[in-house]
Amino acid sequence: MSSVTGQQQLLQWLKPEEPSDYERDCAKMIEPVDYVIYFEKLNLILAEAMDVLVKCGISDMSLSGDVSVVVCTAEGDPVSCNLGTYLHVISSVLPVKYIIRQLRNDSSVGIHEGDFFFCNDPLYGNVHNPDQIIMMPIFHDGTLLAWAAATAHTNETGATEPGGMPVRARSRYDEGMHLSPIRLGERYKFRRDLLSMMENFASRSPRTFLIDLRSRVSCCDRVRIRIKELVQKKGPDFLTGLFRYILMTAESSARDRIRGWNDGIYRAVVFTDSIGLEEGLQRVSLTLTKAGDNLLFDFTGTSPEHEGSYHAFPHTVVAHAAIYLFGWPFYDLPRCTGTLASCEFTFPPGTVFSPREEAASSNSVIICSTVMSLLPQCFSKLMFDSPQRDLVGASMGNTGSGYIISGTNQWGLPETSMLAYPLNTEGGGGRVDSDGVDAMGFPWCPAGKAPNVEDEEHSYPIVCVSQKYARDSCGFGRYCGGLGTQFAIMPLLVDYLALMLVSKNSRLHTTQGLFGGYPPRVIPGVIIRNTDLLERWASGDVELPDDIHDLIAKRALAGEYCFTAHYRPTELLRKDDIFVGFSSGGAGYGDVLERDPASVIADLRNGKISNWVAKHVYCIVYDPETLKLDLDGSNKRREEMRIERCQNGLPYRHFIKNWSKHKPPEEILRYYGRWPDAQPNRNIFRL
Amino acid sequence: MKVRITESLDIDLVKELWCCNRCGHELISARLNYKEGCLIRARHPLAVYQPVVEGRPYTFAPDPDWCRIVEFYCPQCGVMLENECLPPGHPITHDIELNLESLKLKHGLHG
Repeated sequence: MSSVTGQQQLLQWLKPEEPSDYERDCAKMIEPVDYVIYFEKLNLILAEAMDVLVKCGISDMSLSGDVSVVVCTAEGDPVSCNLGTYLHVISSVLPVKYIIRQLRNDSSVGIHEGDFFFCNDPLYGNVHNPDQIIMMPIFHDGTLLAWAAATAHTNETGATEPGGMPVRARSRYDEGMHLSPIRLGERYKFRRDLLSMMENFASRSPRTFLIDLRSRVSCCDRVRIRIKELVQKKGPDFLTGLFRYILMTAESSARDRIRGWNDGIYRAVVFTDSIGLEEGLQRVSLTLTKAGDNLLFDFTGTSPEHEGSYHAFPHTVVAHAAIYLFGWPFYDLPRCTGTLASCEFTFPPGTVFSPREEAASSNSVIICSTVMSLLPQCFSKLMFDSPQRDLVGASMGNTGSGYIISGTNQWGLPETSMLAYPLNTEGGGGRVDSDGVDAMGFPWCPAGKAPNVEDEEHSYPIVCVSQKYARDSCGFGRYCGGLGTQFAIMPLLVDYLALMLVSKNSRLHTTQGLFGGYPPRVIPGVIIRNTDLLERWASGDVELPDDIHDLIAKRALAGEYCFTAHYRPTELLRKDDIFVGFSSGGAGYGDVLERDPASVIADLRNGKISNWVAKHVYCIVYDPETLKLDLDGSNKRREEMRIERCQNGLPYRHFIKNWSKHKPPEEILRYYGRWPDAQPNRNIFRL
Repeated sequence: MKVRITESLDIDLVKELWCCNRCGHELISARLNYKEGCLIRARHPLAVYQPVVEGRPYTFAPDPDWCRIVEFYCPQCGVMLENECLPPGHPITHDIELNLESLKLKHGLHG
């Protein structure tokens, strides 16, 4: 197939446009005090618009933060945003620039006051087709001045499985609705014909789809109204100058910061255990070169594309890099293309990050969680010897426990949704001076929030059996990662629900620890079939464990306990079945033997870790009944462990001689590429 | 003159050596991978992760067919400088390759 936009073209569009003479002249009129005041004014406009977006929307993903609203220059460069997630700041750029370049001067389309456009096709810049964007041009006296763009994740696309992220997709033809940029509205009104077409695509969940779609339009219109008020007050030249000043300031500030970091090459490698369709080892590799005020991100060495659904296009990888870059090293700079102007990205063709256009990509966020693990690895080593040392830390959990339920809800309406609690409660990574935050949030959405039990039980035909921290789920270290959570539901008021798990991390974890800290534990898929829970609740049984680990280990309920991989294709969850899910804790930082023994005791008291971990990992000595620490005994025990390390560790050459003889079983390596360098080693056919 | 590069690694800019930040042990040339100066051990995942469920493969502990935990220790004091979760036999990552000339200039050393 052919698309109008190529992968390299999209990457080039992420660079800020060259300023026109008019823009340069306008920028010269902006005083620093104007920048400070009116940049904040833009932020307030966008905060108000975000309120509109969230309050008018109804999907779990909108409410929990998988959203953004962006204001862009007339030529499509974002200058400020409110979120949600930084993903959509990047993905907003590309469809807007496509409209400007391909549709503005096309006599059959054009751009007019009162228009609004829609796009959800990754080949035109979206992250994946559930992430859907509305773009609205903002005019003043007939001149295009700016764009507003609002994006939200929508849980239905008419794909082969419910939920918009079909794990069994083999190509884009299994993924449902892909719409290139189209004019969905004119003169501030929806086009009824197109709206009906889209409603039919999303017929598993039309109500949520339509309400969330309208919320995006309302959000953009609020930006339009406020920007026009600003222009009435300050004039169009001021707005144009302000926008360009923001882009220029962002770029120069980012370059100044980069110059303070040590020149060199930083490498990291992580692995995943699923391609969506089935299990398989894949490698994702990053070589980050820092020279002067430039950063080069090279993903050579990443495993080849495959027949499954866990792919992403290059601009989507950049969008995931932006989550870290805007969230950490450049947290205080404008979230705009100017800040990233110093970053170059390289992708050899044919990898999971640069597949052919037919490849399925609706689960791009799952494979791209590797990027969110690679960047903290490299940047922590880049920034340690710099004024940004306080930003050093291990990565968040980055599992992405995407649990989708679908069916007829308790009010008789068709409904498909992704349960947002596990997604929004992954642990933060251990940091240079402190533990990671427990259930910190949604790694993709720094401003996301987890719904509470009552919200979930009100929204969906389910009862929550458990929803709380998960013991031992953090990565261990001198500063441990924050805890992840446990979550268990069963259908209520309906006979069944369709259930699909979009995830990974059952065999190994995507993240790595940092500076001697460990990655978090892995997560199985767990369903307990045909339980007696409702019966025992009805009889007043209060002896049931309230912790899922204990429930599973002790088989405390009657029923069939099914343990599988953490990704699961669509299946039925019937009455009396319990689905058990987990989010990941964050990765650990530093040597476990350097964790303050008193902190380990506190972890035990708080239920954060088990006795097994305190004894075998942190190697402290204490009374298990009273939790009284034996400090001298702990120090002695730890010294013994350090001596044991020196006795059992091998010098590099001896270690490599033995280690290099090992290799994973062939059935694991089917999708890896050539061992060990992951070069493409077979042809991929898609129908 | 030592510069701290990671939690537990320094570089002696004059001697151009990686050093342990905890005990000062000189590991190896700063122009090489510091891991070549470490003691290394590949550990079974069950040494660090307790299985909640008995039997394989889905137990909450990583699968040893898929990965091992490769740990890098200071040969003198035994501090764990870094670890990598790698498939068995996968090459060790050369994670930090600094431009020493640039680093010296940054810290006021010339040539």
